[in-house]
Amino acid sequence: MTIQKTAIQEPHYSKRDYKAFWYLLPWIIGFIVLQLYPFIMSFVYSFCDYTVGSNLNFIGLDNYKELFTHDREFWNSLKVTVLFALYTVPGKVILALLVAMFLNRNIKGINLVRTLYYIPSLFGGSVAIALLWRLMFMNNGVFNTMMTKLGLPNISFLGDTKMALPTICLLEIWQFGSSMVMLLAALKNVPKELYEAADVDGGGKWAKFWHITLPQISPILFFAILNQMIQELQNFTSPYTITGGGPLKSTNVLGIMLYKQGFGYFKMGYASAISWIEFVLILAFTLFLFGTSKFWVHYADET
Amino acid sequence: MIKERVMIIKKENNGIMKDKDVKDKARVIDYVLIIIIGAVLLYPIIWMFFASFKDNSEIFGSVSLLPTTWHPENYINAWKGSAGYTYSKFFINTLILVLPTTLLTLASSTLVAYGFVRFNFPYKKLMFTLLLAMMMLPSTVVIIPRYMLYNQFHWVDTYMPFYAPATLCCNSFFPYMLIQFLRGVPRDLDESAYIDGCSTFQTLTKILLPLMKPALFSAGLFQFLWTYNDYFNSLIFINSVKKYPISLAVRLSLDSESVVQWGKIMAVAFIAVVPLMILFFACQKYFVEGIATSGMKN
Amino acid sequence: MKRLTAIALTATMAVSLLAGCGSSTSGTAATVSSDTADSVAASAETSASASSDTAAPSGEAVTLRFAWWGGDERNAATQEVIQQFEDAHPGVTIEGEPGSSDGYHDKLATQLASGTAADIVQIDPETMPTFVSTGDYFVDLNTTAMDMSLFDKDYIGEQINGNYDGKQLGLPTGIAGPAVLVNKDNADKFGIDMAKEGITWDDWIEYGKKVQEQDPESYLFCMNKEYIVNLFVLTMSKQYSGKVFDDQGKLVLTAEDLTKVFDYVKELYDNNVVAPASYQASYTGDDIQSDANWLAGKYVAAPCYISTEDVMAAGYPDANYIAGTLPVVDNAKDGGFASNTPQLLSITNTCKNVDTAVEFLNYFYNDKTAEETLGATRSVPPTEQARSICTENGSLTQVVSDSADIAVAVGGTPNDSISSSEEAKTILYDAVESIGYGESTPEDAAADVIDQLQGLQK
Repeated sequence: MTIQKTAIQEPHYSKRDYKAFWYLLPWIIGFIVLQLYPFIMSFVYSFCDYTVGSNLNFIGLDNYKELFTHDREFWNSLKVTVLFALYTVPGKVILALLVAMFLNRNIKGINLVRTLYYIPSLFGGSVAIALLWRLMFMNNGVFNTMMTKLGLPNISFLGDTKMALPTICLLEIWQFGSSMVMLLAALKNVPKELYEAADVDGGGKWAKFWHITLPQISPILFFAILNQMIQELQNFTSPYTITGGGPLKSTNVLGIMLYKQGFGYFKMGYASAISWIEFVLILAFTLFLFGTSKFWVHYADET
Repeated sequence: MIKERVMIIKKENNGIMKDKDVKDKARVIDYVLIIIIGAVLLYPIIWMFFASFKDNSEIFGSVSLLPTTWHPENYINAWKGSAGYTYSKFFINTLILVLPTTLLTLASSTLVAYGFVRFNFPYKKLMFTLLLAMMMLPSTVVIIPRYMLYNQFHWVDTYMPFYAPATLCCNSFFPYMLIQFLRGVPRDLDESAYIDGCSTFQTLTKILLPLMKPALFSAGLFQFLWTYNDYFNSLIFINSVKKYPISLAVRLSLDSESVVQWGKIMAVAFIAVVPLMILFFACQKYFVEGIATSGMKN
Repeated sequence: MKRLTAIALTATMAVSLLAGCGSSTSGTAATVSSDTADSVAASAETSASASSDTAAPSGEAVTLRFAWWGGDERNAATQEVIQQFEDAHPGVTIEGEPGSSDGYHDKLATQLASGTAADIVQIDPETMPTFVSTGDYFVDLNTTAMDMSLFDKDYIGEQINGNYDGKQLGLPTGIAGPAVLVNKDNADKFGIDMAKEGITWDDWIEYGKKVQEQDPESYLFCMNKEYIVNLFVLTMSKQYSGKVFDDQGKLVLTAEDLTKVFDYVKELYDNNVVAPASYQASYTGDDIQSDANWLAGKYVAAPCYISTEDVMAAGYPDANYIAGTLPVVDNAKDGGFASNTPQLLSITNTCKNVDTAVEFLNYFYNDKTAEETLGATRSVPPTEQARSICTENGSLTQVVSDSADIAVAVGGTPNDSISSSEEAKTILYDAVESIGYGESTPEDAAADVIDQLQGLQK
């Protein structure tokens, strides 16, 4: 048995350490075969004219050029996708945090409440629920009927170009339960003594939040934001099922555009190019988040 | 000054807090607010339930939750399913699809998480970064080449396109979740097991696995949930109706060749989501606490 | 290279847009650019089983797969016919694979390319050219024992009805075309005559105004942008220009003519002949059948397809329905309202028991019991024999029969393969949507569309 030194300068790997590769084997295989290979292939496709029925023609940057200069839908889709993420992620996370903080007190039946609030999250990506949403927000759906009864003018939730995107975002925000549960647990984990100490030092509510609560829950908060953001930038099922990208392309996220190009018109090369843009977008957001994390996320084992 | 105090107290405390330490007692108005929020959140589901008993004119005409005339036959019609298969068949298909996928995911994720957390090996940082990076991979980028691959193996129209990625740990969320959890489990237990002569595998199975139960259960529930709700992949890889899981069957009920009875559609939707709710209520402890602890590093 | 072509072909997948395909000629036609000889060879090679015509000796167990799309009535009727055939032919099992029209053809394209398609398949005649041009997938029924004597020779001789260069690659399942389903009670209430001879497009605008004056909550037509394009825009364009694209794939339609058409579209919206665009947004494609206003009887008429008239009527059953007449512009170059089969049935080359499959089709099309069972679930039947049976037993309603007569009388050329493509139609849908929302003028929209359509030329 070799004793390992935890010196950072000279990693000295024991025989035991190499066993790790056995454990990582499933992932390694999966990574190469089902992730890396397709990833590279689609990159290759994106530089080709690859319509169904033809061969793989290398055309260089033409797909991208077409996307950025000629395509009528692209810039709009980019904008819509970013907006979608910007509405849903802060919406979900902030709401989750607020509700979690509100619930973080001695409430009888807190578990039941937590459970109930979580229920909408069960239906993430569910077609059934997307259909429900459509039915409820239609022009003669139940919400407009309510508005009429209250004497308010009807809103065309799905038909008005300005309302459609927020309505779909609402479906996502409605599902804040999962983030809330995480944050609630994080909140409970903040030692009470810290707050007491703040009281002694004369810290007000805001100071407590800023200097204690936020740093303490920051790892979880970070995870929640990161996770949600990656998911929402890729979201496809909701806008697709509820409005199909309309009206007037106001909900036409990149995912839908890609779908139409790839599986509606079978322009696989072009669709691959779009998918790569989507990827770069997600990468950019992620790197940005990670970059800022240095400034506000405090990990327990990094003191 | 507060910051320093925080650091000191954290170290002393190990950051564990008990329920009785929670801040202030809730007042009546808080309960009222809680109930209101809950009602608003659950309204769509409740509405869906009652709508499933209504006919078209009531779904569009009225505000009241309760139907004036009840149409339980909507459920009978809904269960009949479509295209000659009832929802019994669709449910069974779903189970055959989802359960193995979940179990395979858990197995592979555990192995991979163990590898990352308890070992130090060359290129560890690189591989970990890759693992995380894969979470950002939009499925649309890889789906076409993957389809090609599966086609070559004759896996299309089977459930293999689900089993394979599960076995090969392709969804980085699960290993990540388990890694977060494992990082919070003290190494001393490992060390003592090692000293006692356990192999790495035994350490995993005898010592760590039992400790990981809540995280595993929670991860399993998530994978179950996500696979159950999956639509995109199912539609692409599963072609014959007799293999349709519920998510595809729901879509089938909307075939626009006959007049849409929205009540029946809502019944179909409700049937589709009920199992999730039952599962959830039965396992909520694990579900909810699992999320809670998985995000924690303690 | 063969693999790459296989890749390209197999890359067509499920989930189409909500502008789904009805039992007729709208919607998700899979578009494929003109193929190369390679793809024909490639697809033949990559087929899971070689195309062989092995007949099953009688008495051996044979299993066939039959794929179609449709609603509940059609599914039930088809299953019954299958059952009848199986009873009469012990040892033969036919596995029905009914599906939703949504994504049906995307899936079929994939299956054809990978050789996993069913033995007998139902196909949208507007999508068929795509399949025919990318591969040799279908059996030429002329080379089989298929009895086609009951069909009208000219009818099955048309390409849109399955005849490609002399090869009968599919048989029509019926006669379908555009129709106007009129709620006579409403029409009478508002004092308009939708069934008059020589009705004009402008008449419809006038009627629309009349309806609105009397009841702002009612509209003349139940439509959405997809239906406006398929039933009005393409039709009127053909009436003005003769064709949209010619046989060589060149754009014939002019910006001038298209502007006239779009002017009409604008009038439809401005005068509230149809519901506002923002309302229509909730019902795209064939979802129009569940338009709440229609279900509440607030429209006077629904332009639709002969094959979907019964479905629409069932949505609001408490009315008397009649067939509305179809307008033609002055000096029209073409009738514009094309009737052709709503679906084709074909036998794929991967079928291992072609003789049995042919026997089934013979039963399906020519047997009286089968025809009685099937009724009009695939619209007006293609053979005279079937039509008389259906009229007798009432499955062919008066409305549908009248509509068929009206459509055939006006006539018209079917859409060419480019204008029936998903891409072309989407260009038109977007343009109509934009006019509906007041975002662009008819002139600008027309110029824009012509510009885009030119990009689709061969």
